[in-house]
Amino acid sequence: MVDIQQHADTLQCRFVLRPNRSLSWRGSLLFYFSLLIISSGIAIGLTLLGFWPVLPFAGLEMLALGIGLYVVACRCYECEVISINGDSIRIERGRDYPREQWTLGRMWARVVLERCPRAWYPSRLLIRSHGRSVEVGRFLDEEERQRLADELTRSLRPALVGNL
Amino acid sequence: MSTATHVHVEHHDAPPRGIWRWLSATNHKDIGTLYLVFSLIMFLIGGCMALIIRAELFQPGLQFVTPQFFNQMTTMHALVMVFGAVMPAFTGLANWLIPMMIGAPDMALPRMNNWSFWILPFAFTLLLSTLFMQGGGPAGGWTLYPPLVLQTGNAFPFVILSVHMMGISSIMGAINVIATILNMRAPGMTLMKMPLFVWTWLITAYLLIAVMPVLAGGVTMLLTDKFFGTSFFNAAGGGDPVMFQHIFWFFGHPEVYIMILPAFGVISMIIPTFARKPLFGYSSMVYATASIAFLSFIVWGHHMFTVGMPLAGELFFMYATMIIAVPTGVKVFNWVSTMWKGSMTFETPMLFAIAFVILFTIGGFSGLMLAIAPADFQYQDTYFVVAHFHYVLVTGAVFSLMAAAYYWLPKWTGHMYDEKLGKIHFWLSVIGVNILFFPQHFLGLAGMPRRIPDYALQFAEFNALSSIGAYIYGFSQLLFVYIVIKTIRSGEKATDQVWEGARGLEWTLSSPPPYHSFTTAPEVH
Repeated sequence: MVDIQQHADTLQCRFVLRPNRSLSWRGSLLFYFSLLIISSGIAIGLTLLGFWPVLPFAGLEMLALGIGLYVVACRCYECEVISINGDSIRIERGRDYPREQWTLGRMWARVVLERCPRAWYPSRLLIRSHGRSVEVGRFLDEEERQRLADELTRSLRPALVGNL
Repeated sequence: MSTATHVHVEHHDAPPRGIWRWLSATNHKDIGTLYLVFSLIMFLIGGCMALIIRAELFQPGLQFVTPQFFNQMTTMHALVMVFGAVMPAFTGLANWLIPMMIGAPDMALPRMNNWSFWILPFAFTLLLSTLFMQGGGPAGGWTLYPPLVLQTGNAFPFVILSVHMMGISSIMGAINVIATILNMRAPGMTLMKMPLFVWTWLITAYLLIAVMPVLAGGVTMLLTDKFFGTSFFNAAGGGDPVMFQHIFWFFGHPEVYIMILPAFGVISMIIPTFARKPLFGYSSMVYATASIAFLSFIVWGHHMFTVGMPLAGELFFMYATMIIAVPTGVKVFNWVSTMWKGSMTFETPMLFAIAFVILFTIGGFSGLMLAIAPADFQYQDTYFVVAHFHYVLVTGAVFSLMAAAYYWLPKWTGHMYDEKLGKIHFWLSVIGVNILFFPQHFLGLAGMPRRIPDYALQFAEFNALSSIGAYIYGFSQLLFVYIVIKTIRSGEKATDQVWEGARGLEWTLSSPPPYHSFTTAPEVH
């Protein structure tokens, strides 16, 4: 989903991009620990009866489940912030804090939506400036990406017009 | 209005073609197709084994195979059907349908999805190759009870490895299903708005994760008993062979529900469509599914009433098993209530669904008979048990898979199947399967033991009848293969909704659906 914060007087604009997620981090933990308790309860019970080989398999499986849920949860908490200020565009990407960031010149910026003619691959939204290009909104659906591309172009236009 | 610059780029890698497309597939539809095709092949292989069994049992005496090979066939038939046909078929349905039903673009972990499928062909090649090894394949039954299974020849470690591979595949599939359902539901798709098929799969995946390590640990202990001198199940070394039965059935009974809960989900999707009414008692269906899953953990002892259990144990497992009839009864009641005063039509998926409700209930009732501990002492290891679990797994799980195939085939392929041929397939199946399995109740009650290649003369008529039913049912499945191939290649163009009464997000997509589902967020009502 795309959250747009726009200041009409200052021509400043902020786009906050987040993927769809249907479970909170707390919910993921709750689900994981409910399974962990059941699985380890069974494995520990059998271990106490002397059938310990169940325990490492249960451990490995819970590790795999934990990694799977963690990877998906992390992906769902990914966030991109595009801030358009006076003459720069700042793009930040991360979860709790910006892990990667780029600053591009606003005057030369161009918003490009690349589509694969075969519709086999999803489209890619790029912000290009001075030969550099940054892809944004990878996790958005096609409609959201299209809308974001139009909004970004509209937000960049006043600067271009003003400059002319 | 200002718009972004649109560029059509050719520099993307070309979509993979030919075999590489399938080997490297990460798209949920491709992987779903792979699972379904694989399970159909396994269904035919397992079916051929069943026909060998029934050919031998057509008459008393030994006609075609040796007793050792007969036992290999019963063992392999079960392993192939359980782990190679039914489970992968439901995983295939999950792959195809769950993302489309919850409004997700794909499964949460697509690469893992690819691995979880591609382990299976290797696992089953390994398992089937044991038939050609010195000493033949495993012949001690799919339950792998020691000490009998430890007498397997060179095949033994390969069988254990293949079981591990199947387990790994199932676990990876379950992790993917859980991660997808929990994290990737479209906005507005709350848990209690999820289609029942999705709910049943979520609970199935939970069961799978909980019990698979028990199977893995159990078969590993068999391996160490055979090759590394341990005595987990060796009485001579202070171990307990009966404990393997406890361990196996602690996995095995939930496994039965792993194979039937998604079937409940399928039927709960199909009946409302053709009754043109919403499902009666949606939330009670969800709670009934969860209750069945919970109860499946505490009833394993009913598989081993005759091993010499304390009376308290017999009573506990007897009553716990009988309690399962309550949530199952809720489900059957809800399906019937959904049909009650509905504007029903009887297309092939609905015919299979109605047959499921009736015939699965027969399997459920014979299960109740088996749950009665004192009666079970007579039924234990007789053909009555064989009849019971085939009514549950064939007219239950397999019929639901057939119903699902006919129901969603137009959505998957974009073509309507041949309704006339579909109905012929249904009637041949339903007649064949009843001729096949119903007489086995009488055989069991008369005392015919299971897993024997020869039998006393008084069982001859019912066995001959059963074998005739097997051949009718078995060969009628070739018609199903023909119908599927015909539908893929040609047929009337299917509409997006396909069925007048169909509800759900998958029907809002085109038929066949685009390679990437839901390029715009779906609306959930």
